[in-house]
Amino acid sequence: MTNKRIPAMPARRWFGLRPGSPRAERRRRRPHGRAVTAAAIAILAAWAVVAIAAPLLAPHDPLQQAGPYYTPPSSAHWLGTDQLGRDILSRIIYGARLSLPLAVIIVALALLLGGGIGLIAGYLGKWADESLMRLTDLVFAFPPIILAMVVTAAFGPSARNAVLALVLVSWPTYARVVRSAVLSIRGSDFLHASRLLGVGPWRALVRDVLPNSVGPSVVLASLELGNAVLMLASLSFLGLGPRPPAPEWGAMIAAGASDLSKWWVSIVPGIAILTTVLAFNLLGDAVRDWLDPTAARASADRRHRDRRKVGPPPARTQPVTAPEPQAAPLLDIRGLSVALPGPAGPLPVIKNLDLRVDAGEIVGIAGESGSGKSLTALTLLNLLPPGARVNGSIMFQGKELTELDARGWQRVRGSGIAMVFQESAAALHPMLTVGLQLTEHLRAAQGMSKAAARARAVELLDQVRIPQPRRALRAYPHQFSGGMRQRIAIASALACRPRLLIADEPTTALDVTVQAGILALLDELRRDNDLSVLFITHDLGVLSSLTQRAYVFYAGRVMESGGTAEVLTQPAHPYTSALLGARPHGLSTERTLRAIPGAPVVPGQEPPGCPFEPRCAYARDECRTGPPPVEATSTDRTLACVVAPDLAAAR
Amino acid sequence: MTNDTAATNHTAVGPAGLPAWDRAPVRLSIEDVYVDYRPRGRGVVRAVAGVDLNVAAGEVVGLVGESGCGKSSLARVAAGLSAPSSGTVRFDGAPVAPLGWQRRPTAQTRLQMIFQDPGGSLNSRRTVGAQLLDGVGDELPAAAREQRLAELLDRVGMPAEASTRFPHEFSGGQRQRLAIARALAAEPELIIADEPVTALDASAQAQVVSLLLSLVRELNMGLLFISHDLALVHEIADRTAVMYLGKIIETAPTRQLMAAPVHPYTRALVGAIPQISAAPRLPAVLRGEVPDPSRAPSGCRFRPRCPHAAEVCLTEPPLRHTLHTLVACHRAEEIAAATEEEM
Repeated sequence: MTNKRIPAMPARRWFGLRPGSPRAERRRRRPHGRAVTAAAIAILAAWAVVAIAAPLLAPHDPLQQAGPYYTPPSSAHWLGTDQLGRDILSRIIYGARLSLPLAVIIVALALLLGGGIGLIAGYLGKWADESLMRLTDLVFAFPPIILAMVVTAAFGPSARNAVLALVLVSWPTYARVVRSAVLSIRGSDFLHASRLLGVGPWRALVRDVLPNSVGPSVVLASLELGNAVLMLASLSFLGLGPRPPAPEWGAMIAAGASDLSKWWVSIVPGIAILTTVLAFNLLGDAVRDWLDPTAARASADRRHRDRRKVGPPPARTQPVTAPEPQAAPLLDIRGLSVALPGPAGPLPVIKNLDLRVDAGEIVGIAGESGSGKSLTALTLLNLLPPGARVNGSIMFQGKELTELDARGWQRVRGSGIAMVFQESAAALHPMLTVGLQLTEHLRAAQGMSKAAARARAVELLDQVRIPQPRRALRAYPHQFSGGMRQRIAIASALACRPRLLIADEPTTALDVTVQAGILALLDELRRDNDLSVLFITHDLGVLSSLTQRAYVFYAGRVMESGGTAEVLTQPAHPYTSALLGARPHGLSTERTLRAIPGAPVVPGQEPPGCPFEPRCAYARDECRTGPPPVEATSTDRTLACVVAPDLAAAR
Repeated sequence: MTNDTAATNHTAVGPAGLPAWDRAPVRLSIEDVYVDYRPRGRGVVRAVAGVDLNVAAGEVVGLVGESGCGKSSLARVAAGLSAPSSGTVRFDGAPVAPLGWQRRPTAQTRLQMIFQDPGGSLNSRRTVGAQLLDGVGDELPAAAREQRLAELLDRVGMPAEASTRFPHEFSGGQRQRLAIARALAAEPELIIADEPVTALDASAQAQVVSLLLSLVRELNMGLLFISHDLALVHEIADRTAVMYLGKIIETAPTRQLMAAPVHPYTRALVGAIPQISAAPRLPAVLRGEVPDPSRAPSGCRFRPRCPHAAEVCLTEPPLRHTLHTLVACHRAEEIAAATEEEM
């Protein structure tokens, strides 16, 4: 094994890009953006060639008279001559030699100066931060071009002074960007960890802070190149740039500005400025997309919406003519398979799922992350990401959900199925009062009057045991504790009187004493309102105390299902047993923690046989041939394991 | 001050007269520590209000409490990430210097910390190996460093190839193991683990907890294991302290604490753990909510939520030895007697 470290790191890594990310995929999907970027690069490359090869390309000396004054474009002077009879084409070509390198120098110096100041301010903090940031405030207080004018006027117009003036006005932006990046890193655990290991503060600055904070300022710099060209031209236009007779584009515009009948004198340098600034800006956008893909993702997603594919519902396994003896279940999922779009084709994430929820029942789904339990919930609300494929049947209150159109789904989501998430804060708007959020929802969905909606909101908050519900309506979400926010989120979910509430790890982020309150509330809501709950959790203790029936998920499949008490006290599947063993037992006197070897299956990399086989202590050859069939072992219990019957016999 | 007291002479009797858990030398001693914050417009928030706690070599001390009880503030101060508002933290007898503009003295790099979020505690821009080597002396020859790297990774059950890879290439549980390996690079005598498995899945949790426990036993390290999950702490800690609103309200050997909790808050915490059973019941609900630390109640801080509150609770209860535990409750004996009668 070699110990090649940072040198092996490609530039993109440095800016936080992960090899193998779907980013390349996304870019391929945006041919339009790519063509624009290519055009921008082509324009800039052309200008660069012009600048480098100026002596070869220019037909005349840019500083010497080459013909009569003010000749319009002709075969002798393609772009005409100026007020001193100099060839404009040659001056434009030589101008590229001036403008482009100066713009790069301005941006580079501003990035170095501003970045350095931001780095020091953010890292030192306290007085250094205070004073340096007040300095940036001071510079920001002046309009940049005015400040640049004052500086060049004071030191005399020259290319060097123009560059210095523009660096002086543009560094604070970089300082601020770098400082805020540094501030977020200063509080990060990885910096603390390396300091605790004895890494000195300056070494940590170079190793840990710098690489994590340059990304945003590099993006900013690429966007600022265009601006630098423009500002430099502006200064020259005002006579504060490189001294005449230097062929500066802004100064050339100024020469023609006094007499617009000699249009070619100003138009041509104007076009030169326009093309370079535009190309720099487009390139900056591309660099930003490349380094920070969130901006690009939004547009790509929009394009992909409404391409969700729903396969034909399969034949029901039971003939419709033979009705079941009991009342039909509220929710009946049969043979559900879901595949998400992946880089190498559809990625199956839920495989052949059968699941039932009866009226007034709390049903649990247990499993580790990536087992497909949250995706099952999203499928039931048609909230899967674009491009997902759904096959199978989902009957809810006798209706086939997979056949619904957008409007039908809206009805189901409003008054049929509601959902509560783990992050209750995410479900509530931080800037609006709780009352407004609850009543808006009621008025929009049910057409209630303002007063009626308010009354119902108070009733809902009372139902979820929020003390002083009338006062709570006037408060903002952040004024409540996590437990109270989760109660408000439940109230909001109950607003349209759903029959089924999907609760996706609603207590995972809460403390145990707060969790106890939420569990009691859900049970109460079930009893009093005849509400059914599909409760998703990874905590088998919660599963045991709240749910009546349970499904144990692994790698998108149900490993075992049945009455919760039975499944958890007499587990038949080795995976259920392993999960139980890996769980702290709380009151038992023995320490019994037994880790499950290995890691959960990554979607798309499932073994050919039983997904748990590589981690299973009881795996046999037949486990490796194909996924185990789901078999009913009693009236209300299923099991997907070929070894389990032998294990039970041996016990 | 006895800064230069040799660690071996310093036995496990703390300033508050904590019982000697063990005859092993005290590694970490937290003495009457207060931590105050001054957030804008909220006055002074006292996150930690006078805590004494010792951790001896080879001992696992659990620190349990719910969010906002001050356990993370205490962890940061104990590790030297920030300075206490008053009180002292000693490591091997010498005061822990908060991180500043100097390199941390080598003696204090033997005090390490493991953080909750394994994604945020590793630098995503550097290879795992480079980060592990931060804790290995620069003076070692390259071959020895290489070998040490392989050793460290092997210790936490990771392949040696992991050193050339970047943190994001690993799962959460693996990253936490790498973070542990990095802490081990400094050959720590004591590790402070602040909610080290909270962000992990059940199977990864068990792996990481088992790993920590085996390291403590094999390397004779001390471990301060901070968690909100009492059931989890029960699996690992020899002794457990329960924190409520900035104060420790009960300390006892873990098994005893779980089997016979004395303080009403400890009882509520134990009662709220959802249990697996053939005859399931919902966990017991504790009334009220944790108050804002800037407006902590006078007297006993648990009083407004306590089912046993009485007039005597208007004065602050001291931590005292009773019923084989160290508890801050005026009515501990009465409550215990009443519970016995019920049974």
